[in-house]
Amino acid sequence: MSGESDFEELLPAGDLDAPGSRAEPISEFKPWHHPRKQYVRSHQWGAAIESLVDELTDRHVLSYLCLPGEDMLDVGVLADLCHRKGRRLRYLGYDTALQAPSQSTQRIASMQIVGLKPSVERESLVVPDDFSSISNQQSNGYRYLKNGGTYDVVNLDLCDSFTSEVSPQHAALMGLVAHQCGLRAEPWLLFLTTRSEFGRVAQSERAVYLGLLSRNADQSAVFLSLLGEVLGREVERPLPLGVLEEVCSVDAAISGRVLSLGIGKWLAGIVSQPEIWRVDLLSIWSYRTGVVSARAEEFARGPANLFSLAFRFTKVIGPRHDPNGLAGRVGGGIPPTEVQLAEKMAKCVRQYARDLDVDLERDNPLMMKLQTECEELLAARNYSLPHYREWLAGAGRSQMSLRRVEMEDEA
Amino acid sequence: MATNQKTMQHELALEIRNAKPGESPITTPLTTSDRVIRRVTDGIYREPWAALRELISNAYDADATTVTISTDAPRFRRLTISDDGNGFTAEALASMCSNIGGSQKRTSNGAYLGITKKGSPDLSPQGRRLIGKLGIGLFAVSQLTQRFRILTKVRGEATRTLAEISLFRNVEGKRDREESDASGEARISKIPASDVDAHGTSIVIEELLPRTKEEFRSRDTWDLVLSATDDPEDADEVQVQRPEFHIGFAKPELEHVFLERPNVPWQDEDSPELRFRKLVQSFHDHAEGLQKPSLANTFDNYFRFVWYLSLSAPLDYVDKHPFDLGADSGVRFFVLGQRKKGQATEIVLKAGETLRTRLGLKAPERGKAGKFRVLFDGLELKRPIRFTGLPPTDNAIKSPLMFVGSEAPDMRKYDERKTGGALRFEGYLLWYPKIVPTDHVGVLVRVGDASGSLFDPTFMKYQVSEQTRREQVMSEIFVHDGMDAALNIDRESFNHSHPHYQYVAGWVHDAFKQFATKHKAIGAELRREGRSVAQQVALTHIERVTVRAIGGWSRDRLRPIPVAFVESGEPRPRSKSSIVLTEDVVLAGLSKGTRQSAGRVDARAQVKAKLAAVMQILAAAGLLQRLSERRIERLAADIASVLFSEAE
Repeated sequence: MSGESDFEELLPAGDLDAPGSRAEPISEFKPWHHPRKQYVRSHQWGAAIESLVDELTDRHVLSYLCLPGEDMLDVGVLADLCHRKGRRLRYLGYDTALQAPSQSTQRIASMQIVGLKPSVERESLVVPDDFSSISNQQSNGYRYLKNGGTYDVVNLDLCDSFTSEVSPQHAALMGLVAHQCGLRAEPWLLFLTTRSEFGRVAQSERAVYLGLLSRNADQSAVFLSLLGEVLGREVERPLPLGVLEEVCSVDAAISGRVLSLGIGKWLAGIVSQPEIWRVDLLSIWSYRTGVVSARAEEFARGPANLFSLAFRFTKVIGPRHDPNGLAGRVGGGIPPTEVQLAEKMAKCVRQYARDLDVDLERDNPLMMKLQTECEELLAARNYSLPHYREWLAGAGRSQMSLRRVEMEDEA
Repeated sequence: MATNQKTMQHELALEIRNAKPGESPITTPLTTSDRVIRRVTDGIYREPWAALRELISNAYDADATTVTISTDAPRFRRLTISDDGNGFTAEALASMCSNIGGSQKRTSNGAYLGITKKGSPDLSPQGRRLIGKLGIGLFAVSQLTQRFRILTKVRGEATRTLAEISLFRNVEGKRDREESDASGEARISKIPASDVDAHGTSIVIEELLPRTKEEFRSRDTWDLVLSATDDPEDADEVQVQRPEFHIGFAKPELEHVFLERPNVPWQDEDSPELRFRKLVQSFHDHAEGLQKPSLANTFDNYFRFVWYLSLSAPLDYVDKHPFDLGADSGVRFFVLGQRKKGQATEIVLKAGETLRTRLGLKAPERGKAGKFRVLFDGLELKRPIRFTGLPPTDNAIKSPLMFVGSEAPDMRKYDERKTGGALRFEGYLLWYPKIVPTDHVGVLVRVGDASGSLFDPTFMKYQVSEQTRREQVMSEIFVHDGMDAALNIDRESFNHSHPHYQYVAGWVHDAFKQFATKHKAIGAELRREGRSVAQQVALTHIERVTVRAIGGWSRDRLRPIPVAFVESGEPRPRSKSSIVLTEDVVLAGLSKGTRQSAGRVDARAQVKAKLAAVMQILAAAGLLQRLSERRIERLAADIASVLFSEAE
């Protein structure tokens, strides 16, 4: 080793003359800055969490596992909710962006904004590990998960698809479910955001999801009928995988619903062992991501490409049987069958898989309210509001005008 | 401070106060005396925890109730220290940049800067006694990095202030005179805030110096531990002990996977407070198996640093403050007597009484804003000093001995410029055969309930040779008034020439003397009592065995024949119903060593008792009937030689 490199080892990384962190207002915006995402945060997630908080009456501190991103908007919204409900919030976030040598100004600001909220437990933290690392029990990521106990709410707001061919999250989610279901008895929530494009799902995984649906279709006429409604066409038994594949590959909205149902079915499968838990799909919203002015038209023409799913996990207390027949059966309800759960999930997908972008276009006051909330959150994180409004207007206008044309055509 | 500098500082404060979000950052040089920055940055080597200690002190001085430190252990990419204190006003920030090392906190100017209580330059706005020294806390960070950021929010303001600090290393001969006091640079900007009522400060330290990072990771230890082999060829190499408790060791090139899994003594579901309590308990449990249980032979650097921080910060004790101990604590209490002439007096507390209530002790004096927590990576730090549940001991004195006293010398008649002002303190010395950990041996001086230095094992240069006792004493001094000026700028050492230091040192030495005298007395008393009891047991045993033996030889003579020892020349009682032995004669055959040993009163008494017993049994067996008194004495001498002499 040369003397020069020996010396280099002693020196800190980074250039002392390099311009520091950006303190000037930021004019670049991300999909999660859009008011629609604020709707998801405050309404879809907020409503489910509020209901859970009301149910867990003896829980003083709500524990939250998330992938918060540098703005930590979800944590902030949840902290305010907890404050309103007289509860405290402890969060554990995973964010690989923290592996970068330097944090952005808005991240430091976000951490402080959230950290100083009166409801937030001071031992909350965001770690630089990849969430998927929790499937490796030798990893730091797993250690953090384990250290935090169990979580009342898990929010996997993935940038990419849950089912992505590049970084599939199945093993991580399986590890999380095993951790949660093995250590707790109270219900908990899982929010999952995933892309709906069929092409982003590996062939082998698609086959598994579709196989789960096809099997239920063969078992239950009710499920078959509901699936038909989800697919927007009549289907018959036996339902070949090829038919499902074909329908999904031409329509992203349908493929999103089918994937949502498939993911729900897959979750139901992994939680039913060794103890019985049931999974209910509470709500499902679809919307578009990646809306930027230049590509607004292209996006607005297409169907929703993101699905936001809210699942509830409930431990099933089954009846006890006296094997000798003296006491008969005592306590507990009759746990629903796998097919019954599938039917319930399919009903939810059919009824509630709503297009959030369409709904918000029709409700201008709500849209304005959400925009105001977003502006307040973003200003505090050093984003430029004039640029934000510009971004929003550009993106929104193109999208709305196009959609209106489509709607007129339909009329 | 020079008028010019004062004006510049005032202008900078105005500039910061008037800055708006979105404007270009204010760039300002950090100006200080080279003396200060050299002392802080290039002086004696300090371990990384010392910088964290200073940041905790600053948060305390800013009336924070909670400080949260996250270190990203075991990787240490980034350290974040967040508090909910008052935040930096524009004036305080300007002062920090313009006048590093200036004693703003301790002057009337402190109130103008928003960092002290109006009219009380020694107190924080909420009334805490200030512990940070000279506002250099932030610059202690230069031990860890050359660049860091401060984000601060003051209650009522609709902006946050971001200060990015760069510290430069001095380059000899490269700077001209004009630049000679520029030791770094700060870039200050504002960002909007909607949480107007929020207040606090976050310090983000990135780009840690490589050496600092490796120290946090205990890299040197793990490199040696993990490369150790069983090969006898390597036996001569330095043996490094594997830490019993540690945070694990991640691969340098693959930081998210452990090369060595952490071994922590708590459960995942444990609260931060319980985790820390378990850390302390597990140290004590582990210490029972070690002759000299030290932090270094039990913990990795990380836990050792955590322990040091816990010792130094103004925190509650893990169990109880020593002054809150009561009669049920198992500790024997003594009040120290008057200086120089006095002696310690034992006090017995009544049920429900504590040292504090009995003696009117005050420590810790924290004012109204008493609540202060430090969370360190999910551990709630407490002072890791325990007074009960100490490891079992073979020592004759089984209970810890605590010597307590207080002082407030009346200095009114002296010139304040000579005395350095008022001095008031309380303190204790705790004796126990095994101080756990050994790092707690010595005296720790807390000024305003915080300490920059650790335990001083020399007891402030106590000159008397009391080596064994010195290793069995732990002491804390709680200084309520004074001593600030005796602290050196780094807060880690004292100016030994300052009268306050000298007075406290004198008190400690005197307290040690009083303790040592009392300890000797207690020891001597116990030894006397113990010896007397042991002797009685031994003699009774010999007597019982003899009576039993004689009973086997003669049914008629149940009582042993009396045996009397006389000195040579002494008149001998003539009686056939007793045996008379001349002590010098019968014990003359003992070897020199045995004679010396037998010379000890107790041992000699036992030798005589045993010899008498043998003679009594021989008499009971009828073997002495035909022997003259002289031959009996000779027989006794021979038996004594066989039984009690040892090889020279």
